[in-house]
Amino acid sequence: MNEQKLRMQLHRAINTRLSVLENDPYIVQRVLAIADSETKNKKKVLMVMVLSFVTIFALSAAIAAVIISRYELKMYAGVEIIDLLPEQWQQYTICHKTKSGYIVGGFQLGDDYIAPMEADDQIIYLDDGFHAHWVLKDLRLEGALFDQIQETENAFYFGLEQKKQGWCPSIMKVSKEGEIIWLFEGTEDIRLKDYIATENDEVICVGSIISMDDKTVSPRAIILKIDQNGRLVCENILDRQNVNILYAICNYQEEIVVAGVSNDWVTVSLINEECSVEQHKTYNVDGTVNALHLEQTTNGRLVLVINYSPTNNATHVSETSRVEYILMDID
Amino acid sequence: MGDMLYSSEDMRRKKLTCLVELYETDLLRTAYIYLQDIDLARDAVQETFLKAYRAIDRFRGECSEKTWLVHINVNTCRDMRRSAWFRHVDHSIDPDVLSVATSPIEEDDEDLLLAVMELPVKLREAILLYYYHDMSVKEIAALLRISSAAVSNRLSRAKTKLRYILERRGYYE
Repeated sequence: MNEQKLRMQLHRAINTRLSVLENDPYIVQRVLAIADSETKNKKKVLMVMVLSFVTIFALSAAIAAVIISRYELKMYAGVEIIDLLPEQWQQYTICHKTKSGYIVGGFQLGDDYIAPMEADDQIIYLDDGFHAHWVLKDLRLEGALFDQIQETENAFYFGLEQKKQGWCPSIMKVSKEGEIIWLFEGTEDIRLKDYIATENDEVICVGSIISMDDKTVSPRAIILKIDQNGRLVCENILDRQNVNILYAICNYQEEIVVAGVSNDWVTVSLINEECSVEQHKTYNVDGTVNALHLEQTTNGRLVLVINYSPTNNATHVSETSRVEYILMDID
Repeated sequence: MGDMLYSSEDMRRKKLTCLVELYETDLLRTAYIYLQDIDLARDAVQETFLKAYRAIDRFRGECSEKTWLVHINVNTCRDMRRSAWFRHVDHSIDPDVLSVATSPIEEDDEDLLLAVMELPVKLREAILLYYYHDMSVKEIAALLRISSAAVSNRLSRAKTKLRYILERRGYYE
């Protein structure tokens, strides 16, 4: 829709179609009459106020405190749910349903809506009625893009990307009261895909590391371990297994399981406390893997979900993506 | 823009008369699109000028007179929309309520106006302020007390929705 044309057309439409709305010839008189009667009433009220000065002053202070606090709450009340739903198309706002509300990362807060905005830096915790419990805004998050939220018993973990000279993946731990406990910043050559928080408050991240100097070099899978204080304590690049990217990580029956891609193969591995691979299985996929996900089913099995684009052997062109599920057992 | 600091009552009244002559029409049309009710729109415009009259001495020319009045008008319309009475009245669009326009109107123009009136109110006000009142994104953001990015977001969403509504009506360019 051409901007200039829209402007001209709207002017024309409104001015023509609504030309039937006639002005009120007595509007000035009415306004002045109301204003005059208000002035007379004001003088009477002023006299009463002077006589009751101390009482009114004390009451005003109390009322002001209530109004201010209500105003702040009112700003967040009645949030449009349509702007909170996770299926909205801007991927860098993330919404997680907690037991008693919602936590939203990366958004624009309006008077009565929350909308996804590119590269915004606020985190908000809302109750089920969409009233804010807290808003977290920190200079370190300026321009950040959020892509994951996980919740544990006593904290929220956020996966995000921070804009430095390039984009740096980060993991952030936030208390349930909305305070940053730690913020771990990765380097530009790392791409983090998934992470889990373990029982002892460590975080294990998986992804890939790329060569910043030579883009033709394939990425290599990487595992990082961050301790309770947000410090990197372990880093392992999976050269030996020839895995390019790790997409998923999961805690299953007290084992840490990771899934990744090695050329045309999907690999599933168990890793130990030093982030080294202990066991390794591969599955052939007839196509290009787009994404992997590991999940424990309700009946206690481990399922690997593979989203891939099958290759048409006749045309050698990838077709529309498909999803496959593989149930696994850990020996 | 003119000096709007008046000490005498007569000058204030003269200024009110001048503002009404210049801007009543635009404000009435804005209020009608906002509230979709002729009587409410007239009430809103009267209330707008009453508020402006009360605040005439405090206006320091930080913006144009029109922007100032539109600001008051939009806030008045918003307040009226929030009232319990307003929520219980049917505000479906019925352009036939308006009598025939005094000049012939192109069918496309009428479709556009109806499409704008079909928009959700937040998107409608963004379109109105930007395209009809020619306010800048920054001015709209200040009026609505939201960020400039949020205004741009609303305008973008409004145009997308307008396109959809117009296509549904069999019109699109």
